[in-house]
Amino acid sequence: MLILGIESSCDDAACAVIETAEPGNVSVRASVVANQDEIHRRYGGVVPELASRNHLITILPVIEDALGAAGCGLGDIHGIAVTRGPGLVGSLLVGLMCAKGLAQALNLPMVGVNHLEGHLLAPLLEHRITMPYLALVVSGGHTALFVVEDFGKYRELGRTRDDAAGEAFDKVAKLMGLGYPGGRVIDELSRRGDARRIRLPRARLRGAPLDFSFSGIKTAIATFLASPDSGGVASEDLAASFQEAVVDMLIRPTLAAARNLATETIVITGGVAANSRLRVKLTEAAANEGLRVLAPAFKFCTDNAAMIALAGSYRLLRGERDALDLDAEANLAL
Amino acid sequence: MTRFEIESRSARETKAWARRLATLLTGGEIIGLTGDLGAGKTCFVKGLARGLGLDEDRVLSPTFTMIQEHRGRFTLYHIDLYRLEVARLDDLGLREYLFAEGVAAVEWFERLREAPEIDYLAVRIEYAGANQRRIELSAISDRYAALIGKLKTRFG
Repeated sequence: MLILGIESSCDDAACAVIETAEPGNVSVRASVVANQDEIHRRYGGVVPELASRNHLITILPVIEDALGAAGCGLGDIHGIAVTRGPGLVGSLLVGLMCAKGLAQALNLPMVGVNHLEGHLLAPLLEHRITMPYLALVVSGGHTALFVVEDFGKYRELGRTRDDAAGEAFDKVAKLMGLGYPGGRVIDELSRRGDARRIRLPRARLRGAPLDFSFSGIKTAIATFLASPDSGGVASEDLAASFQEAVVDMLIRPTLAAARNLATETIVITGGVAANSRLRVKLTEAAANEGLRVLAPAFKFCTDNAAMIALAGSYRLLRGERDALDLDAEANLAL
Repeated sequence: MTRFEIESRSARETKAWARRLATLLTGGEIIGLTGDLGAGKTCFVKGLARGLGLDEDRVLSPTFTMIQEHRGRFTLYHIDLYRLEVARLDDLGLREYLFAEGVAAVEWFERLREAPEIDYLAVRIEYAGANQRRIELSAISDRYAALIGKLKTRFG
């Protein structure tokens, strides 16, 4: 079965073609992403109105590119999977309307997919993993822990109460006068820094050991930068100290969750999964407890349509389809 | 101009003041929040949410999405202009949120080009120590001056 995936929940318009005969066993024939970084860079982040307008221009060429790269035409496609939320409504609508149009014109089944479900299943694009497994989704907009019990069966164990981890990276980079995107800049700077130079608090939420909080660390950095102590501290050391604190605050709930699950695999996914310190430290800490850590290739960590096609594939394989009056939902829950 | 200055000794106190303010809202209000990163703007909005009968744990920083809606007694539109150097009402489709029946709480409100022309309750939060904050509510119009007056007499 050839499945066309369409994703436009935020600033990337993406299309992919995957081939699958059974759930979880897929091969990616093509995955194309039209990135709008250049447009949004000067704003230091995504501007919703600009994103949706630009999607209108790029979505059809992106679909054509994906079909071309997969070496097939629309006539070869057996089903369509499209992101219906969560995300920016204007952006979501462009992909959803496009999917509906194709489904109607080609008389194909279409299913709407939750964007987060795509992230949770993304590691299956490259690895065979036995379920249940634990997934830490960590990006600019999300920080949450889920158990993937089966296709379509996900349980949220914990999530951020305030800022997402990626947002903390961006804001602290801004406080320190570094560039955008903050995650990459801090990661690079930290390699030359001493993570023990400054003592920073590790937030722990009373009664909610699997939840996260990153607003306190941001405030701690702001307070430190305003204090006389900050003068003698190299930005490498401050970056490393901050990054170490964030990584620790991600690892503690993740391991606590893993201990209570019958799983041997922890998956990290989302943009912050690219952070080198998080990968190394979580892998080491997990290995001490007999667990392995998997992260999708970077192109499948960030937004892409292959994971959306995958997340829609098990329903399409069962012969399910959504009605064509399916709506986009900005706050769609999993 | 009507002003009310509050010394808050903790995030908890900041939230409590916001919660009290929320109990006085009747819908259609615009609350413009200003203050540096980490001052406690989102913390204040969590308190507003609580006072409106919403789950404050669902109020997350809207920096990434810019706009988050929470449905309750009134819809709370939590908006964050942090990522925009200058925001214009029409660029973001902000009119439908600001001039709606719900309550709009806008972080980094000063970045809105049209801010001087809008009638709103200004909430400025400043650092006054690691956990202490100075919160200043101010208003020009009678409507918001009355709101500040009520807050002062009931809780001040």
